[in-house]
Amino acid sequence: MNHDFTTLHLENMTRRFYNAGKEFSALNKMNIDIPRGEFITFLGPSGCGKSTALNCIAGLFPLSDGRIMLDNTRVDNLPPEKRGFGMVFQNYALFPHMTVKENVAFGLLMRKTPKSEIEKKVNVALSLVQLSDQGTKLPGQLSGGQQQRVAIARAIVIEPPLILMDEPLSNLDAKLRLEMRSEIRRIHYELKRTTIYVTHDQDEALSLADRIVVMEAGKVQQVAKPQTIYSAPATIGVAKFMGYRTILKADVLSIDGDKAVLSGKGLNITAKIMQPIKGKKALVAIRPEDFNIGKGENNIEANVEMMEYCGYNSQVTLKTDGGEIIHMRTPGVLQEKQKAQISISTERALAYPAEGV
Amino acid sequence: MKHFLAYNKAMLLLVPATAFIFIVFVYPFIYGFLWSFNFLEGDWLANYKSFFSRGDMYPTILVTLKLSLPVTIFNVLLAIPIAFALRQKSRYQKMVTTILVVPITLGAVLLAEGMLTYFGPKGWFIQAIAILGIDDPKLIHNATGVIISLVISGFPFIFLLVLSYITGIDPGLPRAAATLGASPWEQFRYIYLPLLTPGIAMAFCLAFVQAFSVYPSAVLLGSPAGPTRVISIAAYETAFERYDYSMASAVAMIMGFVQLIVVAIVLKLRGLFYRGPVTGGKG
Repeated sequence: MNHDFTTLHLENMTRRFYNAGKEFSALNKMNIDIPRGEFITFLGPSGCGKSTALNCIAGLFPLSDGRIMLDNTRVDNLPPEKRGFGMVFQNYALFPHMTVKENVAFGLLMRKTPKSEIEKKVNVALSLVQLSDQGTKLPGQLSGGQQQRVAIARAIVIEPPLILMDEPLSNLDAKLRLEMRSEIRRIHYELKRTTIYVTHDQDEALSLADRIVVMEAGKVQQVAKPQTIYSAPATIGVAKFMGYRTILKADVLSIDGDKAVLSGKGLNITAKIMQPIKGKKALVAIRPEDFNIGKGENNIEANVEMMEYCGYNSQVTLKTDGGEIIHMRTPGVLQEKQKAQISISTERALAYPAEGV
Repeated sequence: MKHFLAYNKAMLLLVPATAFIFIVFVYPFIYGFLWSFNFLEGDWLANYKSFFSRGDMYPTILVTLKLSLPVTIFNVLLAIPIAFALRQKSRYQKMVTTILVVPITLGAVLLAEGMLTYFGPKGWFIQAIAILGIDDPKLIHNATGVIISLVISGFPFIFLLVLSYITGIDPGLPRAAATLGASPWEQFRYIYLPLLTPGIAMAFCLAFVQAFSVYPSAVLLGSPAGPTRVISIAAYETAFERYDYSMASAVAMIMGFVQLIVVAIVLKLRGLFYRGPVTGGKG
């Protein structure tokens, strides 16, 4: 394949299934341009179509509609072995009957690379993932983290124009996951290869990606830098997924520029409009750590239902007199079963149109 | 001490199965083994010497091997591509599996009866090809008849075994190989075949033992006096036509020993291959 592509174009990428006579779109008109060298993450809950998208790009699933273009070359009609994209699988998919070295050498062997060159490249790849001394072992003799690194070495040794990773860290324990996350980032900056990384973990996506594609129900919801996705989700769905746990239903009283004055269940809130609000009802999404103790721009009085100590801060669940549940994270201390005065700034209360109203 | 007792109580669960194996297999085997020697009549190896010197005895080993080995190899070689093509769950897999399982349930005698009329001079297969101007290819009363019958009854057995081994291989492995540039043939050659080899060896052994002890079809479809006088016919004649149980036991022992040698060779070769799990990770 052409290694020096400038942009990977996903054009109207669609994949449909037929189940019991009903059509179902696992992936619906995905449109994204990915420049060379970018680390892009497909993020979303399970069943959102992110893995389907990755498998379509790899060539393991055929497209129902749309095209995949490497610059001006169409690749979606090629079988996976002709695309030459490196892929790291969720369960690693290491060949159990081959040693670590043979696993890594497999792609080079298929490319009829000369023996001496294979030896050299395999050694470089293994040292990149810090497994130089494990070359003669079988995958079954390695720990989960080591297997994961073999899988990465196997995918990068063929110097693919594109590296695809399908939830590569989801089978590792929490500590190892953090280590491997840094490792993947280090390898990416060392090789500067275009990487598409699929995950359901917001932290992974935020820390690794240059750009995040948030998906839901087969559709792209938002494509933006991690900072934007985190602080300004484009839709209520993205907000929910990015950890905006408090969702308040409210009536629209008035709209003034990008601010909306809302009221509902005894609360009056002025919020920042994220998506044009046409109806009379709106949803306000607020992240737990954006609430403050004490008075501020939007004041809320609520009863402290539960305090969960989490180390450097606490998770607090509050209930307003109107029955709204508020989730808050604060380093401060509140008393359980007592009234508390909290507030939220207008900038950090995000207003979205209420679904179906 | 408590653990020890608990462990031993659990071991009691093994008693019925062990007793069963002992009563129906181990004891008769030892009995037959001892009986195959003539301890009372001087030369205790007389039966074995007689077997390897008589023209109606020792050639049966080769006759049986000539039937059972090619048939087993053919069945295995045929089962691999068909099972491979049907490895993905589909309605075809179910359909073909069902069709192939039917011969297993028929039994050798019913199958032989059918073939005798179908391939017989008045059978409509022979009549049909006669219209096309083809002479009777003589498909019964010779080795061909026995081979056809062994393929029909033996193939489904091997096919089902190989299919279960193939579907047990993590489909992520060939996919990973594909992303690394392996064509469908290379995926088969480098991923499926090495992972299947131990299973194929086991299937081969089981099918071979079955084919080597062929009796009904060798009698009904073959020519039991000559070309298909297999070793089980020799054993049967000795035991129930000449009533020489001691000699018959010796024949049975030799039969078992030949089977054991072939199985041992195949399992030895199997040991040269990878035999671990056939999935690609710890997940």
